[in-house]
Amino acid sequence: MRWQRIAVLILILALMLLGSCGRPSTALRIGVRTANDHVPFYISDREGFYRTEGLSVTTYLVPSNTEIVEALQRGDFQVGAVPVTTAIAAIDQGAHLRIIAMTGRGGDGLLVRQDSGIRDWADLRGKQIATIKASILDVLLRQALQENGLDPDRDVTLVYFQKLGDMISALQTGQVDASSNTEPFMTDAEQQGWGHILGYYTEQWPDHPCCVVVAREDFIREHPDELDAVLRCHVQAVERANADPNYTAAVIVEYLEAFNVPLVEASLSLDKMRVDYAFSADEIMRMARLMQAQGLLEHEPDTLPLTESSPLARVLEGR
Amino acid sequence: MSAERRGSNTIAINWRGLLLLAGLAGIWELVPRVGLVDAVLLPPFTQVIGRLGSLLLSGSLWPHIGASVWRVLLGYGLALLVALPVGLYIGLREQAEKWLGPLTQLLRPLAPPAWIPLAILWFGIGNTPAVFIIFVGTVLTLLLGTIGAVRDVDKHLVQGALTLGATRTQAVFQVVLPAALPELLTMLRLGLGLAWMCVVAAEMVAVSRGLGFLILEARNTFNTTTVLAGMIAIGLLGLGMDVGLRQLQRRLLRWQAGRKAYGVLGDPRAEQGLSGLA
Repeated sequence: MRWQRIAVLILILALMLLGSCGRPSTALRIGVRTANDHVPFYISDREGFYRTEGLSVTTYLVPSNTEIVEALQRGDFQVGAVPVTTAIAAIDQGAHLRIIAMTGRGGDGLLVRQDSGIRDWADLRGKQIATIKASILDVLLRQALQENGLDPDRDVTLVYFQKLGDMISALQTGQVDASSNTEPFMTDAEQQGWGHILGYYTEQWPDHPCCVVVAREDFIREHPDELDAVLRCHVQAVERANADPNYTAAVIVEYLEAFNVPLVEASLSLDKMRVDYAFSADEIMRMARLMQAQGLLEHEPDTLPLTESSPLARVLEGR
Repeated sequence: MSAERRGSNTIAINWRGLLLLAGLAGIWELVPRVGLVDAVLLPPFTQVIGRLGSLLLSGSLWPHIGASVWRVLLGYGLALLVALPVGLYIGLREQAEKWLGPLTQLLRPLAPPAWIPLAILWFGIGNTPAVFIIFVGTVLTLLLGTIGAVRDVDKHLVQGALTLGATRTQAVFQVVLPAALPELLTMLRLGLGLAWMCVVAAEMVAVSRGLGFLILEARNTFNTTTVLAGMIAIGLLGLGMDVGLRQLQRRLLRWQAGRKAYGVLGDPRAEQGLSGLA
């Protein structure tokens, strides 16, 4: 009798566990990170754009990109925003996602200490550079080093971290000589007086994609109206963000609960980064090929279903 | 999977444990194959084992294994060097525990990742902060275990030794330590497991090799198969080291054989005997 009860309990637990796997929820959930170029989602949430479209959306601020992709794959989120490299790597590994829009371009670069004496890429030879393995910061850093005549595996030592803040601490305290980093951390370091931005990766790839909007395949297929509504909000929010940088900076500070408005506004200048919704399949493919060349993909990029551009095209046509 | 040594030369395979593992592996294989769980989130068992095999055969896993084993042994060894003498000292002196008890209880709940920013600031980058995180993740548990083991020694044994003319040093080394040995050895095994549990957090700190680093790198590219392969490698290494410690435990505690309650209640004959006695 006791064993029967235990068996029934195990069965119930197993069914509950299986039932929670891969099941999309009915309410629309969007997962984004605390990052400058995710601001269109903050604006849509703050200004009630989703409600105006008749959508019931909950926007979740998630601490890491991989957690957003994992939640998307499980069906906890239907839409999310992640770096383009994270999206490509996930699709390469079989995640049922598609890139459907852009959120931001540029914003990544190389930060050194003001007193390091490093004023040119050539000065990096023999130095230690902090980066996050397989991230967009890593992919673009390697490209920038190569284009500046440095072999990332021989001429410099790449030191791998997991968090942006840890890289800043390591750079500030002299544990490393440079850090591949992003805004607003880089402008913050410069304004504090200890950091010097050696360059942005837009020098190697002007207007390169940074973060993208991804959606689950089944959501794209089964809920085109809701997806269009989300993208309409996104386009509206991007335009609002670009129209008023001071307002945008204030929203970022409000959602990130960090930094200050003048700093973030300075980091939003067009020579550093910009928010955007438009994307092309070609630029995504270029990034995928770059990742493949760096050994980060298991499949040929041409064979990967990376993008779905028709929903955004539909939305833009309908305006 | 565990192999148990019987007598001096024979090794008995734990078939029941193997059977359970095989059953779980079978369920793991089946669940994604029949679509009950998304295969991207949980790749089939054979796919993960295949990845583990290919990483081993290609030689790319060995540097990661070497780096992690070295860090675990160093962090754990340093923790033992601190915890055993300090724990012995505190365990024998009530005043010392009153002084240090609150501090150890205050620090013990801090998870290893919480030490990462300080580890970088204090020790820079590379192996030292990683070893420090393993050290700090294990030392307090080992310390409290040692204190407990020493405290549990029957005071009559010590009093008896002193009455018979033993010096204090002789009482500590010839009575207290041997009497505390069973608990100390169990604590050593727990501490080693804890050290392996800390390895992923430890390898978040600016290292470029190690099984934890491999797992985190694979997670960045959503490569669940490699994540699971790395986890299995950690599990197997932890198991291998635990088997070694158990052999040591068995050898050192040979005098305990046949005295333990272990298995008595599960043995119908023994239960019959007990009820007969009652």
